[in-house]
Amino acid sequence: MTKQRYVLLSLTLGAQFANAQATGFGDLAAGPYNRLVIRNAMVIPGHGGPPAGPYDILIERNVITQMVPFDPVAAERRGGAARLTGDRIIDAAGKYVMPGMIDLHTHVRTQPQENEYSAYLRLAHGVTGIVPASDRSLDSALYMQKQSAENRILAPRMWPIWGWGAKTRFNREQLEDPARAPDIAKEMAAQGMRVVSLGSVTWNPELFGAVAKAVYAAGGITTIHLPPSTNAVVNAVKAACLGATMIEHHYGYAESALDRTTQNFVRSYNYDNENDRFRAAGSVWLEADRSRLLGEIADSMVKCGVTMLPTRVVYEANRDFYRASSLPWHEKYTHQSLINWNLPNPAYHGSFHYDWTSDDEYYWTYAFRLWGDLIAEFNKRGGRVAYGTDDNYIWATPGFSAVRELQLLRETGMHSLEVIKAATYNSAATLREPKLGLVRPGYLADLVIVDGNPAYNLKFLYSFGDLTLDKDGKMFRTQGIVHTIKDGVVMNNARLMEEVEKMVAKSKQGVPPANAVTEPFLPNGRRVIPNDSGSRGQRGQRGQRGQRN
Amino acid sequence: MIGRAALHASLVLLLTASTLAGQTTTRTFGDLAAGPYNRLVIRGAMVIPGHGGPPAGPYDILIEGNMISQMVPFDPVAAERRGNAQRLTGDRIIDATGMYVMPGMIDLHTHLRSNAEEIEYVYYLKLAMGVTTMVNAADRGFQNAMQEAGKSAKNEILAPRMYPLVGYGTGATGFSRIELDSPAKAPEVVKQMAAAGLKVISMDPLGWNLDLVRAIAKAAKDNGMITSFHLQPSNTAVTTAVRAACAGVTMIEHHYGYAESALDRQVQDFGREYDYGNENDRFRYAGKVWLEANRERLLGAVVDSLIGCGVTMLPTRVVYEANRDFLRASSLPWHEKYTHQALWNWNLPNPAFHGSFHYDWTSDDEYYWTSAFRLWGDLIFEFNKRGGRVAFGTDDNYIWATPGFSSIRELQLLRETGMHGLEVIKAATYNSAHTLGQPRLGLVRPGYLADLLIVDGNPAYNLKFMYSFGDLTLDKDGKMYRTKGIVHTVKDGVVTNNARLMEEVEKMVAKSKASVTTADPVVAPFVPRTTRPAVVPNGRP
Repeated sequence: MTKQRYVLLSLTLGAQFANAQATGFGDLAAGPYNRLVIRNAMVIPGHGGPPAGPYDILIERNVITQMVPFDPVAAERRGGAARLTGDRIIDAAGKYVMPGMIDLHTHVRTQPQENEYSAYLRLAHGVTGIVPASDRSLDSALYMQKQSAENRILAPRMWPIWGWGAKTRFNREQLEDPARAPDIAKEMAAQGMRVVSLGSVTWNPELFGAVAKAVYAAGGITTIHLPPSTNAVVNAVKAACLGATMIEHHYGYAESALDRTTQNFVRSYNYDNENDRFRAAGSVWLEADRSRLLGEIADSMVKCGVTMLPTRVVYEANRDFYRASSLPWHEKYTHQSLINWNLPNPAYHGSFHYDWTSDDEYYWTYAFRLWGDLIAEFNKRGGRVAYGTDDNYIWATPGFSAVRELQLLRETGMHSLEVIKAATYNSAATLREPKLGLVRPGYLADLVIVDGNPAYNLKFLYSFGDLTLDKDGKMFRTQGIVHTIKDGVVMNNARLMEEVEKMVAKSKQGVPPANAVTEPFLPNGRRVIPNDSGSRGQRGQRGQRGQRN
Repeated sequence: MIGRAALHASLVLLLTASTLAGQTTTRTFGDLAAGPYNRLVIRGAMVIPGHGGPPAGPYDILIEGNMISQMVPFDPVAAERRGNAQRLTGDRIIDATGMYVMPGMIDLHTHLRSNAEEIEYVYYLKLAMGVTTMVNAADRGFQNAMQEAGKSAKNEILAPRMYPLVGYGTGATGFSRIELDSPAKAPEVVKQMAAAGLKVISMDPLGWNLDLVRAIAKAAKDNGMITSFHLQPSNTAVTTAVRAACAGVTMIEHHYGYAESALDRQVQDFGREYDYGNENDRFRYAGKVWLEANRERLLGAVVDSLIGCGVTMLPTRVVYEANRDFLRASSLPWHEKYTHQALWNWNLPNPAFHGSFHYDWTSDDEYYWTSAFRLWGDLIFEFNKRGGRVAFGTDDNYIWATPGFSSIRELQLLRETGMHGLEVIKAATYNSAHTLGQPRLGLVRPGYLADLLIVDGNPAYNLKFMYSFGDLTLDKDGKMYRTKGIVHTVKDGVVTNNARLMEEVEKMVAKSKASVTTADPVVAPFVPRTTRPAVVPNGRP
């Protein structure tokens, strides 16, 4: 038993990235190393098992190769063992190592938001793999994917979302012919496709099924946002049983448990009015038959083998707008371009809170509850819940949202270890990445080193950690994820956050603090709280509040 | 019954300033407020009556002194039937076209805290956000509470009507501790309390003795008083919510004692480390107990018993919201401008202060409390559905619940249970007036006291319109704008200028923060190194 833990597993698995050399990251990051040793870390494996350890972990280049336990029982059995050594030793005493998280649905948005802005925030909050929407064009996304795969940039691994038929020469008629789907999928796969959105085929169940099967057969996976506009044709159960790999967000579930095939759209409803669209997307849950939804619907989805990808965090503003718009990190860490996109505005996607009433927040509170019950039931019956944020939209700032999403999964009643499993092991399996998602010899070195136990408090994963008590009962603030390791490259997360802060400060230059949302809350004489020394991770109090001006 | 009604009526007359039409002396409070008027007319207002009925109108409303005396409808049907009617006139006319009038709200559980906070800070925030009556814990001492209540009753100060909440025995003299613990003495003790002008008895520490609870509850009823009970987890093995209800207690505060009525044993599964004196333990387990409750029994037999025994629920959800979402509570947008530094300091995690227990508050704790809010909400919903009376209280000025703002948030948190917006308003007005035994409060109706709110926008459409900062909405052309909140609160005929009250609050808060020079443990991670150029973004003329 014990011996197997020392067995050196194959080094060839990571070969495609093993030559990648991280250079030019200044003090932000370094690696991969020939031998990187993390000493004395407690380990959360990722598959739902409990924390164990401490371990010394050896990483050779980008692969975990050894894990030596130092718990008293193992140490006693083994006798005095020499500690592992390497080119770099990270002392992780009192810290917890878990797999890097894989966000299966996210956005990079467009200029003027720097690519580094969301990349650094995600890394600093533990995300080492993402499925980004191709917001800046698929070619741009593929270029970024390659840059990251070669460790030329500091960014999570990427598997961009492809539209059906992207980078092929098939015409519309061919793309809509179910018989052609296998050829199309093969051609896409040959060009590196992994994740395909079924968004363009929800209107046609036969085509939907053909594309889903063809993509999977070609080695890819499919993802679907089931828009209310076509739920009368393909709802969640139908999508699941037609073979979609994962269902994003909350759409299509309540619609699977109605007493008719369309929800009770009010007579003024216009799908292209986002205020209407999002209001009714919440209120549809009030129409769903609860016992059918949590019974046969959950069963059907489990049986058809679909993965749930909730992305709850991006909808939280809908149940509580003030929470979303006054989160404490907006001033320091939310890019002005994102703030501008977030501000209520009928002309932007996701900026529909211009007439968002207490009733709307009630609908969405109810929706979150029943949706949460569905997630819990699905998980309980053996369904696979995965992890995504859809962040960089609707007040969901990248990075911070990655941690909040964990809390919102915990809120459904899933155990914290199940939540971590969703974000690591389950998401890796959904993505068909057999060497990601576990802390285990032979797996790729995508890890996070956390100050404190995330299974004790998921909030310890925030870059600003959380308040807790030391052994003497004295309050202090933990330091968040100290290092994220992606493909063997070790980030200095505190430095990444400083870079983010600089980008944000630059983006806000010359922008008055008052906007439609903040205007009522800015004191007439605005208090300035200079903080030239920084405060991140400090125990106790730092930073000065200056005089009013 | 008739005798008691007459008693209430005479109390009302004693407690109000000058009620007889035509003899009113109009007082001014600088530009903050003025009134009562001989004839105050609110013109063109839509009316939400307060008993759960829908908005109707518009009406012209005549207030003579501190009493609503006429309401003339101007809807097309009424206008057509009546023919041309002269508009009402008076000493003061308020044009309320496009606005909604509803009864002033009655907060049945709130705090004034102590002197580091100016008492006006609380009063002004409460008034500006629609609270015209409150049951306030006598945080600054019994004498002070009675003096303040007396001044408010005479409109000498700008404050809601006050009914101080005091412990059993307060205001009574000559009883030993042993006697105060004796059920047989309760009638005498309560009689003295009533004679001292008290209305509301807090039962908090008495749960260890159900006979005593029963005796006090009965004596309170016999003397025209009511009882209010925070069922401490330390005593719920003796007095659960059902037992308190059936012992005759008027209202059960907060969330305590309900889950404990639906356990599979008499005591919750306290962890072996549990110490009631450790507030982190105490509040963690107060959330966790809901995971132990038998849901079906709670929403069935327990609800029926509570209704059968006639107790009122006083949820005060807002003061517990920090427990399900600390980050939300501590970063609410109004803290910088409107949360007094004294309150902020009390809120900061600190084992030595009451309600400051968030020093090791984990994602599990927030899950326990999210789950607690759900089941508690289901209980409130079921209780209301089966005919139980849900009332309104905030317990604010504690645990990140800033006064005033918390009043509106409490409405939203009741709405969250599934109660209709109009039922929520009913809880805050009509139901709370009834619970407090105030037959002339809680409705917009001729013959009722002039405790009213004039709201920019329809609170039944969006409860958030009642925040002092209103809410964003669209005008008829689809253009976004921000509503103005409750423009005027009328309390006992006195009309407050709420925008001015909020300016005064802002000044007090600015003063309280002027000497703060250190970033505290809650905000420290979020203070940018570089600060945007200071501007006066919303400078007022």
